[in-house]
Amino acid sequence: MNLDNPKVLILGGGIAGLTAALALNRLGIPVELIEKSEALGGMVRSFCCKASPVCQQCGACLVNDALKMLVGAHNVDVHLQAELKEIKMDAKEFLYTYSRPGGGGEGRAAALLLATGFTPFRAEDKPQYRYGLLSNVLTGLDLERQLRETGKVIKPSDQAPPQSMAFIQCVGSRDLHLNHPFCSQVCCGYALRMANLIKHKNPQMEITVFYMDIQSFGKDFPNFLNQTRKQIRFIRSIPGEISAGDQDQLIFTFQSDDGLTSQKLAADLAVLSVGMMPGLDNPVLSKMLGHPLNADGFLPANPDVSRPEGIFSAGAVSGPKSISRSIAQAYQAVEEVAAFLSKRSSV
Amino acid sequence: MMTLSEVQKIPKVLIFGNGPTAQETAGQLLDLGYEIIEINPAEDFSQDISCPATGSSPVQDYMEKWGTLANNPRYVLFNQTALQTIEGFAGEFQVRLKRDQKEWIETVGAIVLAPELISTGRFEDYALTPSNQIMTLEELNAAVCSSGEGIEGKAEKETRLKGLTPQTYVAFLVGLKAEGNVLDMARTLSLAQELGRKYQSQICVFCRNVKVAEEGLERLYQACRDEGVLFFKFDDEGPEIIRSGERVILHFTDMVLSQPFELVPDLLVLDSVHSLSEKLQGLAVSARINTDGNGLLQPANVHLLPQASNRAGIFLAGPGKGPLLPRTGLEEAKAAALMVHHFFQGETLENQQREVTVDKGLCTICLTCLRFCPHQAIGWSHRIFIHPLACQRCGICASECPMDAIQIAGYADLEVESKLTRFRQKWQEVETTQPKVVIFGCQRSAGVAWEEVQRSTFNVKGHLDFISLPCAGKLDPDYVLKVLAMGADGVVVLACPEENCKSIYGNTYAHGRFEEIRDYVEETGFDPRRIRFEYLSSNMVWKLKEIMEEWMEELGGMINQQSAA
Amino acid sequence: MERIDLKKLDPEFKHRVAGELGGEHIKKCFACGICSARCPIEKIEPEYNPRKIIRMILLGLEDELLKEEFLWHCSTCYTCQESCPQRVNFTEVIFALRNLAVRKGLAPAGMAAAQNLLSQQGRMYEVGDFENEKRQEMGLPKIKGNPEDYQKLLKK
Repeated sequence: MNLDNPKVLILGGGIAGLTAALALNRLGIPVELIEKSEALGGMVRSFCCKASPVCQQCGACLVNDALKMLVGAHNVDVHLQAELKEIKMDAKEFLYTYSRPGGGGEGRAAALLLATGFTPFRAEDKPQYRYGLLSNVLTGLDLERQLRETGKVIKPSDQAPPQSMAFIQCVGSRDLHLNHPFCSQVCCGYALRMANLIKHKNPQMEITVFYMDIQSFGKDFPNFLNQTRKQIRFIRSIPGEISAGDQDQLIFTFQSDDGLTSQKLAADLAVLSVGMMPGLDNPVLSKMLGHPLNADGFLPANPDVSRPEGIFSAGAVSGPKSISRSIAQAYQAVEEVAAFLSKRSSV
Repeated sequence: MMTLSEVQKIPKVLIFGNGPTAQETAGQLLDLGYEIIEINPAEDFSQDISCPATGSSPVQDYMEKWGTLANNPRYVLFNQTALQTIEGFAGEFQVRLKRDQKEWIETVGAIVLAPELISTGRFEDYALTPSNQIMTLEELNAAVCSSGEGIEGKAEKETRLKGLTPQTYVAFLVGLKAEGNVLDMARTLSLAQELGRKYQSQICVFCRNVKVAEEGLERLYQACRDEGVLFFKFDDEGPEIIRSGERVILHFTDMVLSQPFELVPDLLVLDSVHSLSEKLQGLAVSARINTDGNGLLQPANVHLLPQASNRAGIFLAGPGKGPLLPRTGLEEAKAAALMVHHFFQGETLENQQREVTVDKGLCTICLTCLRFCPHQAIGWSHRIFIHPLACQRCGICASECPMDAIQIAGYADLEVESKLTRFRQKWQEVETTQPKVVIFGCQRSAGVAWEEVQRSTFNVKGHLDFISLPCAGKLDPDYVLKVLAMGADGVVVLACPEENCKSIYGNTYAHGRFEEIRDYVEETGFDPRRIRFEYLSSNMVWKLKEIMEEWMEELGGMINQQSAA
Repeated sequence: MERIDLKKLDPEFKHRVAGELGGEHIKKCFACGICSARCPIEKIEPEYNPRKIIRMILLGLEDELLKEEFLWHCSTCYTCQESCPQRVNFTEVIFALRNLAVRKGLAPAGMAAAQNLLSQQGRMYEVGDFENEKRQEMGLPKIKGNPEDYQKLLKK
């Protein structure tokens, strides 16, 4: 490693990792980026555009801007299908090795930036919603993919468009039973934006949202919510279960709006708004780096946490967050890296 | 025309604000080696440090650090100073400041606007007037938080709490008259917990939605419930408020029991309206810094994330964009510092390396370009001057210019025309039953979708060519007519979705021009169905395929019918 | 419905329930409605609504609640408890409420009879000669009631 131009190792090539890589590159700081999967872009790559018809500021398209800019970034070394094997601190450097099919590599970095993202909640872990058993029960991610790839929403059971659909919020989040006592911050955003998009394309569709508390997102949220409530039915309780109805329909059993009885709703499609859970590799990374996990299993970025010097993080690796916050944190982390590197070189 | 290398970038940054975000931005930029002029409109920095649960402990840790800023020779602070106007361009702004009766100008390379919001209790909305039994969230915050030592009126505010006992009831009204935000809710939860613990009073929170979409808030909400705080939720404006002499009576229906209740709280806490100072709103207008629909900084446009404004060299951080938790403001301060650092020392972006020229012979100084520029990058004295650092090369000016005097390297009119000529030559060699179509698309949306399509399998029924534009706003109506005149069967114009344009309104202008073109097209005898305008983003490949496969086939049918007729 | 003055209700009631064995987590409820949605008793008797019962505890509707006979209709299937995202442990809350009701002398008449049987026989169903004869026919040993052991336990 060139001590005059110290390198930064970035783990993870999603929106946070890409944004950080580009920001570092712009300062002339060399970057080595290790990405586990076969492509860059992370989870956001499978998200759809939610303009209905006006942009809903979800930020999904920004990953494409980042990928485009990466083409012109001359000091970013990307390794796909690569995993960190070993890392240790030596004097002021991180010495690391990574593996990948066909041979890995090694290197030295002055700073490490964690951007390994999150894992979506496994809907199977809420068996009462019968995800994987009833074909017309989807997760929010399934819906994103459908809309991104086809522009339409269809029922897996018969490939026909649904006449009605219902979203269940907070699936996997705000749940002490599952040991996830946190709000995933993005589910209200993605569900309501997609609900608006679908309603815009299919004005006849009946859409219901089961919720506890709607979280704010984007600019001008009060107006957005008002408009949304005019065309989408909101029910303030979470269904106890989803069971099979006639003709592949789904039956949701829930507490009625007046709080006095339980009711059943039949809909063609169910969408479980699954939350953002800690990345599956977090425990391994935590051990490798000597970086403690927080109570929820994330690798916190909070400066209060005593973590080794020279390690920074951005994005969902430290907790659930939106695309725009992940981008802001990538900038924050790069600023911290820049300050850190300049302090070191002046010592 | 000034070239990029001739542009001055004065390494001084002006930071405007009266709270933690401004302070932190100053600290970070000093660490990065810049000279800082900090302008504080207030007498002192806002001590609005919320209770620990909302992330104030990091803020408290920072206060010591901020105290040392004054020792840094590269730092100067002006308190009680107003920012009157901003003139000039990125790299060399002339900022007019006013303190008491004295006015002066500072010349700086970049500006960071990091104001705090002004919070006024919602007395009017609730049809209440201030009284001993009613406090705003901010007043209660100041009274309760020990970190508020030395806050003006703290003692007075504290006495109002002395009447609280285990038999008294405190009611918080938050996020009812208007949908709430996470800052007010975080404060409410912290204060509800504090009051409950300190006085053992029964605390009741009335709200529409409990905002917990920030780290730690769900746990705090749960702790509040576990400690006995009651939450009453509503889908509408909440309790009816009745005034009876000094008493305030709340009438409401509990959603879970469908049972009407009455409560006369011993202490009523109201949330506030948060807004940008009128002076700043005025500055935004005069300096043509775009705001959102609610008069707050930074419009709803993802391309400005995280901290950019529509003007190069001017950055935005903190609650001026909307209420947020103090620790988020600190995050933004660092992100803004990086953007400033990029501005001064970062590699020049590819698009800014393109030359922009104004043909003096054609320019009539009508100032159309100046008026249309979304980035305020154009000035004039005896001739038009496009600032190479402020200009983002969107091409809206080039397309609006009635004399076609402005050209952008790589997208010049002649370059586009020569592409079209090559197409015509190609078409003359193909059979005529298959339609020949040209797509004009924004390079960041349609361009990316086009490349993705090329990598997949598709079945296009005809000959398709793609001309990339830096922004759909570069689309000149002439292009479409020329393409048709050259023998194309169809033209498609693809722009980014509304409010998703990197040049703010390039897509809207493109759409407007397209509608005009449709009229010309009809007048000249072409079937207007042969031209099409669509909003399309980079992750809408399905739509591009639909155009390529389905629409092209329809078009084929159309032209064959017409030639048969 | 008549309007209730919240201040006339007892804000301590929820804390007292939380002090009872089984009621510790009662205040955690955030009224998601899953318990009532899944409760099998609610389907045949809508007045028995777990979420509503919890809310009555939280708001202090003590007398109205403890006198209700439906407190005794819970089948203890534990579905609510298993489904609750806040681990309110509602089935055990019902046990706590029942204990509070009994202490106030508000148990239904049938309870007293059942209690008597228990303290006299040590079991809910009397085992007499008829039953023992049947048992012998099936090759099962006779059952002797030993209520004294049970009474010793109760005394403890």
